[in-house]
Amino acid sequence: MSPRTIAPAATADRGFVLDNVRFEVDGTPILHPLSAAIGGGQVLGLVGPNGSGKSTLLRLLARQTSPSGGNLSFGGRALADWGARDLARQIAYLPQHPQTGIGLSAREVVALGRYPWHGPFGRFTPDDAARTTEAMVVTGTGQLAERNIDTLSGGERQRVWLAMLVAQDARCLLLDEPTSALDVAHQLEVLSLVRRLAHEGGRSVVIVLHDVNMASRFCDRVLALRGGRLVASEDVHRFMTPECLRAVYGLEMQILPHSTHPAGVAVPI
Amino acid sequence: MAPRLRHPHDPRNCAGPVFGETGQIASRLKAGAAASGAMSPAALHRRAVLGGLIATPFMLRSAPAFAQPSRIASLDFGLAQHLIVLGVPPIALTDAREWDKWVGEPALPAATVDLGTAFAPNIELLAALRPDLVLSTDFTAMTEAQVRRVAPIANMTMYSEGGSPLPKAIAALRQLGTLLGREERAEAYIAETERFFAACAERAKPFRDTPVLLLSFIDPRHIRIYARPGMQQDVLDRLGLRNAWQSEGLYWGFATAGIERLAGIEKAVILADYMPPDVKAVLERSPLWLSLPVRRGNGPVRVMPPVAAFGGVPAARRLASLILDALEARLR
Amino acid sequence: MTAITASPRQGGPAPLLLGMTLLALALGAVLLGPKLPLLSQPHASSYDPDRMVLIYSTLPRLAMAVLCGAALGASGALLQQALRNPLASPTTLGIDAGARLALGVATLFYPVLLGWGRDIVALGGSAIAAALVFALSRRQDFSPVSLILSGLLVTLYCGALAAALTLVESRYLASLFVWGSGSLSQQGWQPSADLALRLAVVVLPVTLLVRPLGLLDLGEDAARSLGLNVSALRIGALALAVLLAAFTTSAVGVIGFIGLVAPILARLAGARGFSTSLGAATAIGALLLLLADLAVQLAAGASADFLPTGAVTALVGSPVLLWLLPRLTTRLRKDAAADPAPSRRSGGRHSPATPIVVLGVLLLALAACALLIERAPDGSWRLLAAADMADILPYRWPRMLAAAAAGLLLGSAGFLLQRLTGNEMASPEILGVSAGATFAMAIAFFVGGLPSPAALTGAAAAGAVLVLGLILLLSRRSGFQPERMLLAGIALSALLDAVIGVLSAAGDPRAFQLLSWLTGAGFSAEPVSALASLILAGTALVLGLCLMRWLDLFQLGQTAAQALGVPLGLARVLLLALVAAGTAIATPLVGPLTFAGFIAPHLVRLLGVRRSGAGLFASGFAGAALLVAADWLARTIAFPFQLPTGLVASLIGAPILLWLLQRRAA
Repeated sequence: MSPRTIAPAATADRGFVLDNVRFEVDGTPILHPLSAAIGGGQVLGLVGPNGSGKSTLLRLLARQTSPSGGNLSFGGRALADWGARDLARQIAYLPQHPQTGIGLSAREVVALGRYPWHGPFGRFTPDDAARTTEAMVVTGTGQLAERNIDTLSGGERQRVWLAMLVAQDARCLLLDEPTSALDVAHQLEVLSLVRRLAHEGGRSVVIVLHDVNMASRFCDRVLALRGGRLVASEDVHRFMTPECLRAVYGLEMQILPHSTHPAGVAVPI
Repeated sequence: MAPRLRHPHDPRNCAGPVFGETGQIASRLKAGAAASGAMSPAALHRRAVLGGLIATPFMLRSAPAFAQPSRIASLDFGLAQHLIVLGVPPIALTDAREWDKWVGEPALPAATVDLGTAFAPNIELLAALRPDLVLSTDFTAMTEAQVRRVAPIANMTMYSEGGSPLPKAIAALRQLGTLLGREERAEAYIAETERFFAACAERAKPFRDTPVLLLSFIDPRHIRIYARPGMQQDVLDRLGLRNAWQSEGLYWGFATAGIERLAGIEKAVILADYMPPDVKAVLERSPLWLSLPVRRGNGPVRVMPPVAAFGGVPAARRLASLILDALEARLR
Repeated sequence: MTAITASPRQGGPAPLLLGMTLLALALGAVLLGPKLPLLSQPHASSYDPDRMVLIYSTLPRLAMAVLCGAALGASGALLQQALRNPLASPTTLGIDAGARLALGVATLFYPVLLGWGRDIVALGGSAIAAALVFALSRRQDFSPVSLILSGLLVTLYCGALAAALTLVESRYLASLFVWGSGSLSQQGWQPSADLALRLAVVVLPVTLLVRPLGLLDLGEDAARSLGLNVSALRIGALALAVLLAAFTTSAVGVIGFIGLVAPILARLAGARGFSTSLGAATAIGALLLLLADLAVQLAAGASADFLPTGAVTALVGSPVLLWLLPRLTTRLRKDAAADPAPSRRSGGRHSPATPIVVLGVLLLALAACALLIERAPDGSWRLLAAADMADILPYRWPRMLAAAAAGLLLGSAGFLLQRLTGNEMASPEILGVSAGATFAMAIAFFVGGLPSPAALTGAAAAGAVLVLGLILLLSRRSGFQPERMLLAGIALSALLDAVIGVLSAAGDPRAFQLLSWLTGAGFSAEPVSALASLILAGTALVLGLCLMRWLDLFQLGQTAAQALGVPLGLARVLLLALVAAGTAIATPLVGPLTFAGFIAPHLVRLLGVRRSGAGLFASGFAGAALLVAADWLARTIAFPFQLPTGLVASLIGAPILLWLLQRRAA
């Protein structure tokens, strides 16, 4: 990892406000009416069992789909009212399965993150180039710049995508299971990077995580869903309790103290 | 550059009387002559190059003046037949290689240049041949735009909606005669044709109560039946013979049908102008075909020598002879 | 097949089968009722023509309908199960078209072809077509959409080849038309007995495969872990399906869409498990074709028109396909998204300008060849003499220029479309815009009397615009999903094919004119129109260049593009409008089937061009080079014949493409 400090993102963050937001497909509710406020320069973990609606919630925040009802606003404006590029300057989203088979070099991919700033017709300025380079330095992808992204390993590729999000210079990063395909070493590498982006760069990060112990180690707060309902929205220390985990996973867990996990490690009994 | 004339018989005004009045023709002639003149200065070099290869007897006639078109190309078999009987055989013809297979008579001079398929005539080859005039019909109207860049076009459609083909063919022959300054020859041929048909009708008298069924086999299961309003029907009418198939067909003069549709016909002599090679064997094993009343009463199908199915006046005469030959042969 | 069985009826397919049987009996009673007493007449009166027609035409025809329908239904069910693709069928995978082309070629060059010889030819054609489809879609892991698109490409390709053959051997046109549109007309029991024998041979191996094929419902991996050799099973099932379809085609010609619709109906009716749905699809196929043929016979009794049953099933089948598409696309999309795209070799070690320069030089060289190397009237090759230039070039350069313009337009349109859809099989030919243009021309031909060339071009443009509007309107609800639009294009092309089939089976020689245009045979250009189309092509390239940023972002996937602030709907509409406009301009020039829009973007990708801007230009140049070369060869190789330019383009482009794909795979 690069020792360089991370510059604060360019835009101010006033966060998401969800007011009875719900989502259904063909009349089947995927998310029950949900109210919450999300944001504020920290790492928020979205956890829950399979099919609990984590990814759906994240896609709603990223405006990849629109809610079936309720009000969803960002930065004090209804999310639907944002212009596409205005929103992209505020929010960067990394889908669970980013496109493969792109055929571009890593640097070309990262540079595409500057689109919200230069638009379809604007010039790619030296500033855009500088921010692209910086994003690659910050994410430690500089040495991959000329490699075809399809030839990179999973961890490298994921860091390139994160670099693109950094180059996008958005205040808020929405990440959908960015570590699901990675081994433990690469999971730690990517999540450390995410945490640094939030804490040193003043960004807010909403991250869907499968592994509750990864959430314990890297998140400041946790939002837990079960069956499309919000069951917990807690500081990570208060989330990592047997009661809370039982409510989320329906499973008895024991919390063991751990040196690298300030909130402890959960072990099923 | 090449002249761009709109011929009075542009496909769009073909619905009415097919051929224009003499005044139109005269003006067209002038335009054609002017056009040919305009082309000629830059031209004859290439002529010299080609001369050795494609020289034809009538080429010499074309040299002195452009007053009358004499180097004529045709996009249609029927109009090519007319050119031949007027003594100005085409210098070039689309699908010329198939003439002997589908037209037979009158014979096409061996020197006639094949322009390729009717829908994609080789324009560069045509241009190299320097025609004064190109004959076309509505059937090839799509290519007229490009052909017109090479030479003026005379559209003489004989097969179109409304009316039957033989009168149109006679009118076309007459018009072509005027266009080429060979009115007498055209009139003589037409008069001879009338005498010919009269004689044929006399020959046909013994067969007045023998209905005739004119067919073209598509495959062992399907046929084209020549019907009103077609050239074949016109010929039968002139001979005073009865067509066993009484329904109307397309304006080309035929209907497509499965062979079983012939079951309703009691009695007729079956004449085919074409039968694919694999059909005969299948037919003679087909229980339905063998039990058709029309087949049971009359024996196997008689296949005539080639005759243009959608030809001009000579094709009509040839068909009349072939029908009579077949009927008389059957008596013997 | 979750999307299809989303609302299955309870109780399985029995009610549907019963209903169809009753309907068939009712129609049969109307058709046969008055004649049935003839059967019991004493032998003495067997010369009664009505009786003969009943025994040797009507009844065998019905038997033939049942046999063919059953074979096609079973073939479709096998294909759909083996490929796990709800749109697979002999029609959509090019198997019909392959047999049709092979038999057409055989009829022209070896007319006396009977019995098993015919079957072997049909089989060869089907097998080659199927192999081609699989070779094309292999790189996309046989994803449903790419499989269907490859099938359509092969179908169009075979159709164009068959059309070109009929243009040269005009006399056989009628027989190929009749046969191509599937007439069930019969004159004896021999053909149905022959077909029954052939189908009987296939029944045993099919029954052996029923249970293993059923395991595929669990998914490929699970089936493999149960001890199944999935690849061998697939190949076996495909071979049997091809056999069934080829025997049918060999017997009566092409009967479209029964093989597609019957298995889908079986599942919609609630057939569960492969053995049930295979049986149901076979029965439904038989009943469907029987019903269609009874209806055709009743209709033909009323009017004297010749109406081949196969053309009728295609006419009804393509709207059914359109209706089914919205119900199928969810599943198709899901699969397409889940498919891992093949990894690509890291290209682009050279500057992005290099391929453009190379293609530009190639284009210029080909243009020079096209202008200067010619055939003398005696057929020998020679260089155009300086003295002849003034005479000949005025006819030659507009044609060459128009070919180049059309190539530029189609190449860049194909590039835009492939980038936009993220699908390598996309091409403007199958967007339906070309079909729309052709459709309008067909209507002008057959309804509006005899139109002038200018009116035809106008009709083509109007048709293209109309279809584009229709497609945009239809797909607005799906947010202009590109796959959806491509599939709508397929259905439209199929409908067009069916209409042409119906119109031309009656033998109207005007079908010829349409055909010549379809194959690009009548290609010509005048100086003004050639220059105008070149200017339009240049304009389209510049407009395309303006939208390049969006296209770059589409490479990241539509989700990421949207997250980066691309207005997806607007971007899709603008890019598609550009594609359609380019296609509409190019189509009247060279006909609807050049495949330049399909081949050029592939060449560009294989050359290692990655950025969209460079790719657009390179693809345009590649398309132009292809068509200029095609125009040159079309004028010269078969001198004095002028071959259809579009056809020559696909004939030289396709082998190059296959060779390149092969090299990459190795």
